[in-house]
Amino acid sequence: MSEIVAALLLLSGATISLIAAIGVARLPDAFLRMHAATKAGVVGAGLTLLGVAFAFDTGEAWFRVTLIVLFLLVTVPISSHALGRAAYVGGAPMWSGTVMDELKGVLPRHAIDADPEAQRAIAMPVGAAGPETGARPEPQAAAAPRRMLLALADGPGAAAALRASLEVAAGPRTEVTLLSLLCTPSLNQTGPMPVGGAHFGRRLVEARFAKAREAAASLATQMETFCQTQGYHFRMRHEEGDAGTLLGHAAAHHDLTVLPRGTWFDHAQALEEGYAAQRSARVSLPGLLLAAPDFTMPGALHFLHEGDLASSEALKRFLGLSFLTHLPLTITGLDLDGADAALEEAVALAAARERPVHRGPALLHPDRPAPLPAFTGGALAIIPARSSSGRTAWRSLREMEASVLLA
Amino acid sequence: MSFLTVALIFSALMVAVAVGLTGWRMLHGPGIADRAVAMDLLGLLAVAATALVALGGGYLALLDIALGLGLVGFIGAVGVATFIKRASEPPEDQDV
Repeated sequence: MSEIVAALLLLSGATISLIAAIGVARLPDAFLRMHAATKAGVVGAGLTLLGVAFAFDTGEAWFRVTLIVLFLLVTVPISSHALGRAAYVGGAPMWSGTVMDELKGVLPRHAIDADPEAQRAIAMPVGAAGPETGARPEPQAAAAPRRMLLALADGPGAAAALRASLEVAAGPRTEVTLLSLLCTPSLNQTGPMPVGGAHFGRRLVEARFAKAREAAASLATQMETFCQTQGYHFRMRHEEGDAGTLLGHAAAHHDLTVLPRGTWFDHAQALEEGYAAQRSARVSLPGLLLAAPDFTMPGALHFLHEGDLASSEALKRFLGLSFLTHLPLTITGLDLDGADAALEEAVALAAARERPVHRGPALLHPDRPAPLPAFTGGALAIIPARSSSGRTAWRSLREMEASVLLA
Repeated sequence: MSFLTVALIFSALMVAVAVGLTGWRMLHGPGIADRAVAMDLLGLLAVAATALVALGGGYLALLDIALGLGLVGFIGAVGVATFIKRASEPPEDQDV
């Protein structure tokens, strides 16, 4: 009799272990996989152990099995709790169908750890448009960026931000590239399928892709009409793949890149809004303008100089950009030893490029996280894209809602 | 073959398939958190597999090894969790 019970326990334990493994293999994100692994895993192992104890049916076996099962019941919740917390803090991506994040604002969420998915880029030229000039404009002293890249990511306020940045930055001779991107990795996530299985999952992904393409096309049409009515020289492109990589490649051939703040290239179809905002705030390219929906012509420019080499090079790149040359430029430094000389030199360089420049008070200290009242009132903050020392100071600036230019 | 032997063979096969699936997830990732979860489950599956081997061979002492495996899995999972957490924190002010 105990043999039958043991056999049944063994079979059910192994079945539940198998179900746990299927869950780990099939569920869409780390948190759901953990749900399968810990609960079903501990029941599967526990039932198997009980089966073994029934089969041996000696005091020694029972003692050991009881010990192991009790031990598993105590430790597995602890270890899975620690893993889940670490995964959350580590920024493991959540399935796009997640409806509730109760730890939002309670725990910090840091950089994403997923592999950079090597995606094949599909370039589909849409064609050139705009007023036909015949010849390229003759080169002369540039008063505006010569080539401007508009990254068309749909989301709340994206069109307004893009239009405003064109009006602010583009001159009559600026060549504008409208780059419509589709981020396939973020759109490709599938979820657990209650009914219909993988087929239904594919259908969902296809529907999401179709919606994202529609949104991208509608935004592209909108921007095309705007550029035509305003008479910009512009070209259009559409690409699909890993959006971060593609954007980096395209931005390398342009002076100024504009990305609407808080949007990403899933066109608000796959990622949660806050997550999309994080993605766009994490892009770090020289000459990237993160434009907020309320972006308007700034009254002044503030350059955040950190007194190091990276900041000085960033300032030189920025001065070469011919971005709003008539606006007063304030160079504000970090309150650090040895930064003084670098700041004097930086001001001298800007003055030699005939910029109305003056040195701001050294109000930024890396130990003070948000000393930024001067940058919010109508001034555009410019920060080095790759800086070393003032990370704490300007990270808060990048995470603000306001527009920021990376140099 | 008794019913118990058949059940033992089938259970071992199912656990083997489970180890295969979990190992695939561990190799495939995509993130370190996914791998850590797979490792956690592999620890539990190892406990189950050791228990099955103990029954199949009649070695009662293997149950002690199952206990040890459970302990190692627990400590490993907590260690990896601590590592993920530390590694993900941005290097604040290290050079100031």
